[in-house]
Amino acid sequence: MSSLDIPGNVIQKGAGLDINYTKYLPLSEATYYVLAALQEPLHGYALMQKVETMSEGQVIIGPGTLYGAFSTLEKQGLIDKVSEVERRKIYGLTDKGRLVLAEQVRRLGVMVRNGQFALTHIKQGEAA
Amino acid sequence: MSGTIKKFKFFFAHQDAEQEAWLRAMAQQGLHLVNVNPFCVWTFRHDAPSDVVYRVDFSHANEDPSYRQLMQDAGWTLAATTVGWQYWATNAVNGRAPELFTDNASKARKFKQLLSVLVCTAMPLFIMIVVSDKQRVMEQLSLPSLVILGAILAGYFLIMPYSVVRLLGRVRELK
Repeated sequence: MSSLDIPGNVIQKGAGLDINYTKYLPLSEATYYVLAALQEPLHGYALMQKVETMSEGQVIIGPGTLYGAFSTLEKQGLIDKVSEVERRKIYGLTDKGRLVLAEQVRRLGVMVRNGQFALTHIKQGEAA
Repeated sequence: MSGTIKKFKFFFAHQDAEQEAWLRAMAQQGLHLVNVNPFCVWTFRHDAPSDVVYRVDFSHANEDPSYRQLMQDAGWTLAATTVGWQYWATNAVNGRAPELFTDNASKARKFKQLLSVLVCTAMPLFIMIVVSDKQRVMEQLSLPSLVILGAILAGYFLIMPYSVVRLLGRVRELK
């Protein structure tokens, strides 16, 4: 082991990516779920099923939409092909993809807090 | 085999939903799509009636084996194709009709793709007409064949822009 290949280097490189988030955000509901489901590498149909389960049946991604999302996300460098098994391309999140997802989650968190605040505010107004 | 019948039915390029509904109704009567040609002749196979859902697409993705694999995994079979059009079929699940495209952005992309195909195929013909030596064509062709040629071209150049306008409307609706 030389002192040069420190595993930390990779993480630093990922964290040091200069990302223009406005280029990718906000993610569409389908794209958001594609990225979230790819925390483990998956092929297309497995991902479609996982998204349906994760979203409690609220988000169904059709194969045409998924294929388009895969090629767009791959071009943007947010996901990449990990392997190919019997004509099934298996995709995983890249460091950049993980950062974009994290930023989207942070923004959604702010949105949820604001929404919850607004709703409680409305309720109080009604009661008064 | 007495099992197949042919039907003629014309659809405009933007009438994908109408085609899908018609094909589903045919399957419910036991007529399952096996072939279609560019002259709007549809071939059906007699079989037990079933609730088959059809979806029209015109994507180039069909040339990608991984796309065909994904479609197969998701339960779709390619019932028929003609000049870049694909007719995908799958069984309805409890009356629910599955979709290929499940959000507006990807639906709009599908129509934009068709628009570009329509415009690209019409362009060479249009340019040919503009630059052709009309005088010579008039002299060489007999009157009946001129009338037929004129009718075909007029029909085409009326139908094509109509479909383009309707497709542009569909794309705008989705935005």
